[in-house]
Amino acid sequence: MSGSQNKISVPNDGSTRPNGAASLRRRFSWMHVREQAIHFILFCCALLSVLTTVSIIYVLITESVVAFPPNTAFFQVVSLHEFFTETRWTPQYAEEQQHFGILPLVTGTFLITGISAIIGLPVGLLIAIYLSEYASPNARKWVKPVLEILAGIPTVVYGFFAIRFLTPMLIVPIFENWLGMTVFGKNALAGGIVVGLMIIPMVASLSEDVMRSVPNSLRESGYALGSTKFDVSSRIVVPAALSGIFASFLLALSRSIGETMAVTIASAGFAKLTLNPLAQIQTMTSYIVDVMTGEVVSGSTVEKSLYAVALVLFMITMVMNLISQWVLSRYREVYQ
Amino acid sequence: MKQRDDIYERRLIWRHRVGLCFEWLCRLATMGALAMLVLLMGSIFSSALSPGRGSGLAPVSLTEISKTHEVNGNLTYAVSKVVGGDFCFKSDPEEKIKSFSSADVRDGKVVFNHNGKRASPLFDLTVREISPGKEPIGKFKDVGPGHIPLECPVPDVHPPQPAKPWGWLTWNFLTHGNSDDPLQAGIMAGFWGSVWLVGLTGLMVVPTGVGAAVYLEEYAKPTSLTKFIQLNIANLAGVPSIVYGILGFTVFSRMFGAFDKQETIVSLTFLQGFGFKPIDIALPLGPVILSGACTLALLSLPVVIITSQETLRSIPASLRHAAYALGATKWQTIWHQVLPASLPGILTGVILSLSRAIGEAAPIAVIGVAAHLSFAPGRITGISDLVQNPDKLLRAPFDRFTALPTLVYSWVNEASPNFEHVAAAGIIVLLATLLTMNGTAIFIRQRFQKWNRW
Repeated sequence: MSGSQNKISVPNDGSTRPNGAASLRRRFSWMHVREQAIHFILFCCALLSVLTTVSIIYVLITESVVAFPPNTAFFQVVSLHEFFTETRWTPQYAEEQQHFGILPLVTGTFLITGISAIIGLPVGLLIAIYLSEYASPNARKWVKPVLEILAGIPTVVYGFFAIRFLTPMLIVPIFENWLGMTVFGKNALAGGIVVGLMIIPMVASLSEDVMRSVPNSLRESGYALGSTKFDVSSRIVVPAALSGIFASFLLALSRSIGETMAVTIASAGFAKLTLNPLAQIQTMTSYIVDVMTGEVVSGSTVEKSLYAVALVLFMITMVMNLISQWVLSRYREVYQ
Repeated sequence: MKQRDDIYERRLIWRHRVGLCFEWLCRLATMGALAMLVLLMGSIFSSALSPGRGSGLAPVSLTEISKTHEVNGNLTYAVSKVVGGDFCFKSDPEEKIKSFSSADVRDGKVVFNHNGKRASPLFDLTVREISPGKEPIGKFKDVGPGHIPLECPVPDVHPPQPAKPWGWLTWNFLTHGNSDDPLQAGIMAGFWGSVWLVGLTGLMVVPTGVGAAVYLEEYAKPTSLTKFIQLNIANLAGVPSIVYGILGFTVFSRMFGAFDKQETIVSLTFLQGFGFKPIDIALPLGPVILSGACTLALLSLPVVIITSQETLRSIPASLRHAAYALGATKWQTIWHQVLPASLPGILTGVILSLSRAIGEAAPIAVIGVAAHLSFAPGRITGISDLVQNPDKLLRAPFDRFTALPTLVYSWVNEASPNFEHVAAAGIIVLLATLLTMNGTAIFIRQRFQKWNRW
């Protein structure tokens, strides 16, 4: 520390106070100003995240719910009733044939999410149980980085895998050649499978964390009563960690709802209200990408529909994230 | 009594068996996930290294025929490419191709097929190279349906590709810009675009992210505002990347529509003071590197904050207490003690989150980035070019760009089958970039862990 900053020497100003107290008086010093300025700047950095949320909400609301007078918002053109009950989503048609009913997009999104949940959640949970209960430290040392690799692969790569490998080499031989069903080149099944693959590492690592934080005394008391390893893991560890596992499931599902590129490449085509996993579907995310990568007229209803779809997407994922945050924090309070 | 014991024993054996089955189920699930990774890598590498459809019999995709001009009712169609037997036709949406559905190149001749039978086109078709001024290499006359199938000699425009050890991942691929022709397409523009993107994102996200983490860990008191900020950050980390894309498009790329189409021009004349040429920036920014980097910075900010916070939390309090005891102020303690001690952890977190950001295609695609660019940002062609025109370095952030995942996305969506291999080669470059970044992060973590003083 430089000498100029050490200004705690006692001033001899002839005051009646004892000298010791004079140094405790608040006096102007550049160092204090600097500290305060740094404090303020860092606070602004922290506020930036709040600003991000606010601007996301502002952008989505002003384009979809209420707009400033010269502009019109999406819900001022399309009624809420039509938006949530109409079963056709045809923004690409001419003005009079346009229908904006979000149901096909929501069905498509939940079809993908459902398939990915069927694949990703049980496998992820089993891997988590294996890692926390069965695996030797050596095996854990190898499996965890590989799972991290799986988590770090960009989503376009998963999309490529789905459309160039899964569909032609797995789905078409099984469902079309063997079972005789019609398989589209882009189908929801391929997209759902790769999204399921994507959420496996997330479920596995989050669930493993909560299972490992279950106190060992619980396990030991189980063993002391003569339980097998299976009993301990299925009847003690998993129930004890259930809320944490639930939270990790919710986070994974919100990730698969928001998943974009893999789904766009593997499954997205025409928006149609269907639950057939072998047909083309359109999700909320891939609709946004489809419109934005094509020609979009600025200020048109089609462009505004993007913001309405994004708003629905944002709300769904935010609610799921909030619930899982809440569950996780409750869980931490119980065991830590 | 004995019978009862028997039942218990049998139950015990069954429980044991169920337990064993369950254990193996868990192992199987883990193996399955790892096998999927192997399968994924295998499919990419086999596609990138396969020879492709460079020679011999090749189907002609008729989806891409374009009507070039119409003279006296005779339609002339241009085949944009004849590449080793692989045709690309451009299609006018109004024109319907009636008489044939596919075509083969056989013995240097084009044979048109319809439903597996030979067919003739219903219109004049001129096959020529895309470059203007070249002579047509074959002509098809409109002979009407039911006539003798037409055959047309096709000269060898590009010789068949010889099998290369690296398949589609050639030097040519690494050093060229994108192109309509799968044999000419390269990844150079996307690579440099991604490098610029990551550099600028890092510049923006490191100070703000680490600053926010320092505030939350070192300064903030547990008030309701702090709790709100914390919850907000955790929540932002789960917002889909496409929503950030919409935000970036509206705020940075379109600027709320406050400006007319690229007509407002801001001139950065103060750069003359530093010996650079002034830069004209058209507002709104549009899909330039700066708006892409801002979007990615917002996207990776919550992750950087969370990982930095975890690192700061792991620094023992004794370090801070020792610094305070020696009379250091709060900032001096943070700057000289806490941050250096937590640097490796923070760097690792930052690099990992940046490598996530570099692979994100959705937000970049949404702000309007095109894939067809064939030059590096700022049109920087090399180091010597950069030495001669250093102001290109300042111009690059305001230049249009394309990124690695955007290129891969556009190649995966191409109709021509050869682009599958190009996409696979692009994915390998993308994964190699990510691997380099993650490798650096792991190296830093391993290297600096030894320096820890506690």
